[in-house]
Amino acid sequence: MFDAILLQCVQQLRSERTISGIYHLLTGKLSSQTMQDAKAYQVEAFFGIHKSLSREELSRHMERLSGKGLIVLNGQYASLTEEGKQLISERSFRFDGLAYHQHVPVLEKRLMLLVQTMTSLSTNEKSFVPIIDDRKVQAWVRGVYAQNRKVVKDFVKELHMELESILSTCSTVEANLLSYRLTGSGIIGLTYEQLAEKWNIHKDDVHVLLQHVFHILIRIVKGSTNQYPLLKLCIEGLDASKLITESAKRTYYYVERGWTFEEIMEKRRLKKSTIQDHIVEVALVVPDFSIESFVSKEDQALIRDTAEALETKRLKDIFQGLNQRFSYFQIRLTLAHHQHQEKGGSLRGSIS
Amino acid sequence: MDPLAKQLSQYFGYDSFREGQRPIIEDVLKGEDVLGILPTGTGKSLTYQLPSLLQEGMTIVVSPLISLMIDQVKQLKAQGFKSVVAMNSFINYQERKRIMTNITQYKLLYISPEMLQNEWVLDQLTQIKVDLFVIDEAHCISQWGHEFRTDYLKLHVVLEQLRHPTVLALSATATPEVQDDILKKLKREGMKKRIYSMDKQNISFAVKELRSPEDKLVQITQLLQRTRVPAMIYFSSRQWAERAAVELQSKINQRVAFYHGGMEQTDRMLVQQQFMNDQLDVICCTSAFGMGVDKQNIRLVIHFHLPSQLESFIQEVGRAGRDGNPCVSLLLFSPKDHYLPQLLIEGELPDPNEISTILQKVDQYANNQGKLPDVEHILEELQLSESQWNFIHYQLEERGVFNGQSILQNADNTSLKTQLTKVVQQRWKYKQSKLTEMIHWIHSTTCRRTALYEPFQNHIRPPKVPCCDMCSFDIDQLDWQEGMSVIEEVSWQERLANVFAGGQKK
Repeated sequence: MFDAILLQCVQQLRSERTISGIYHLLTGKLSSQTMQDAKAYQVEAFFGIHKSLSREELSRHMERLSGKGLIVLNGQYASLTEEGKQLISERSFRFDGLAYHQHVPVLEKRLMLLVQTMTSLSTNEKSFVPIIDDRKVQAWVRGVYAQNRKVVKDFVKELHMELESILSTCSTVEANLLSYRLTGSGIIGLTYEQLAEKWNIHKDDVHVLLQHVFHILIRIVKGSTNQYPLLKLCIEGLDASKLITESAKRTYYYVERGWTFEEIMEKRRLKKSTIQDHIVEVALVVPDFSIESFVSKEDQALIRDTAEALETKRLKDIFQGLNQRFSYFQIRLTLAHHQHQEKGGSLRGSIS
Repeated sequence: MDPLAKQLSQYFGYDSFREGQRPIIEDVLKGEDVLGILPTGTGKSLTYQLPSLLQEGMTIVVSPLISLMIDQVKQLKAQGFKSVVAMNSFINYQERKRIMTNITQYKLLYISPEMLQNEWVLDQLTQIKVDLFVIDEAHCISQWGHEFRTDYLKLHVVLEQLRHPTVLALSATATPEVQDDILKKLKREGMKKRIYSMDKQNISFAVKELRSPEDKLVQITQLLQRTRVPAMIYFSSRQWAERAAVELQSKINQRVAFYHGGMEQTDRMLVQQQFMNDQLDVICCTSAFGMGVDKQNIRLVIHFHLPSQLESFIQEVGRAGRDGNPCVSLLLFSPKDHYLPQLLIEGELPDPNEISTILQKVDQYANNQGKLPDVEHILEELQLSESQWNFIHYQLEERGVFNGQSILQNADNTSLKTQLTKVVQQRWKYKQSKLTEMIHWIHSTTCRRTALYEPFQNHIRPPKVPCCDMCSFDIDQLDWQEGMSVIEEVSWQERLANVFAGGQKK
């Protein structure tokens, strides 16, 4: 699966972004540039789906794919071969990285600890070493237990049923991975290495397949009314405005109130480029954020037309194409803002 | 039942004390200072955990091993003790503040020695009543101990500031020389000594010389093809631990995993718990594994690499056979093996030839800002390891050049340079001599048991198992098979049902 994702990324980035760009995308780098690219190249589904990937591992994968004749490497850039293209259209993913990347790590820890805790307590096994060390997650599990201490057995049955129902919508290998990853009733879950070994797949496949299960889980649970009360509990409080960084939020606050660049720079003691990054970040996330104070409607249209005519999202090409009339910031901002209008063509829609 | 035994059973669920526990607990409750030397795996921690529950004031435990600290706190909490907390550099500022402002809620505080150097923390601790001050791994206070820690040397000052609480110093491996040094450095020469034998009567020793690491792997494979018991294999490098695990997985029909400090935290926890719950047979690990792991039925401890000293070796084989049943130690070595521990020693001590460069830099810091920059900055600029810098820092503090971060006087002078060079060379010599001791042991042609424990105790008890490969033990004849429950390979639905079995049992 990981290979298919990498091929998809190579295709979407059209040799306009380096392998580093893929790395930042998959590890979910919280920068305006990466988030904007994710949208511009319609790979936001993959944003942050493999946070522990290392650069070295990624380049090993790329070299392997190139060795198989699926991609061509040209320095830091990669492009698909005809053979690589063949492999693409058949895959379907249900990722939603940009929306869920911050939820999944918490959900995963909550679920692992909740299953371990509740199954142990339901058999009166009071002494067990929690496999999740996170203090916040432990406090959350304690809270859930406190509210359900009288109905632990029913709780365990219900959680079992909910999980089984979700897993039956996943592929068999995904269901296997999650079932064997969980710890409960004195059975200890397997590590990524062990899961990879057991099903004879790459460790990075284990990572993304498990992520995939969690993305599916969140989607189903969010879309349901009350079929999954306990899993709903597990994603509670993870929602909301976390898509932009705290710092960008503060800049947004001043922009909304009509402050000028100079005033915000002065107030926040930040460089102009940082403020610009914040504004682009907000434009990416907030659909009705007006950018007219930075680029007029006409100029926006001009920039968009040029991008379309040149069939590129590469800033430098657009910048040159417009004879350097607009700043990079104005181009980035325009592209970011108009993502929202193009949403229909997002990755999820096009390949699933 | 007498009151102490009753409390033991009530709080910990044990029927009886193990050797040494009761006398130490009784001394401590009477307010006597005690030096306790108890071998690994005999329940050292109980000697302060029980008193902490029985006394009204606070028990403070200084421990240099953060993972041990965390494991113990976890274990105690799992047993239902809530008023225990650990404080170390992993804990962030807010958390620290929260702990310290609620300090009276706790009865047992684990703390790292560097945390005790924090003035604010110490100040908070002087506000409360401390009944017992425990120094775990007390050999760290002695530079003749195998893990010298400079921040341990300031503990006598802490004791003074806490108005002299009862002291319990504990160690598993301390030669008579180190024992005396502990008393001296704590300025408590009148401490009562409670020394218990560290020789394990249920372990058989074997050493094998092989030509290469590959040959070692072949040896281990052969041994594990005919023996299936809970086993640990120690490596001094992560790469080798991983490599051996992968190779063994393909060659022997046992459940093998590796464990080292570079793994993701959850995965580390899973491997540790699998091993504890007999869901793994063989664990290939670095010394990061094992501290605080209280698994009773480990039968086999193999050393793939040479430990840098006898004390580490004794501690590591001490993890075998805690249930009292027979167990085996096998140490493998090849001709070039001593290079690796030598490299480790080099990482701990500064190069004598670099002393003068370091002192010049210190003077530059003094001229520029009058104090030392961040540690990371120093390490980067001088290309030193953390322990190398700690060594220098301690030595210069002792000589009145530093006081914490401030620089009080110039450092770059001949006298200081000569002194430091001499100290470094002494430490080098000492570490080298420890390594030589270890190398002598593997080459010894007399009884290994006697040679191993002789430096630590006068009388060595006769073993209850075949002694060693110099006496009567032949590891090539070993073919232990221990029945271990193997969880069947099942479909995901069945696996999930097993994990949730708790809900289905009536």
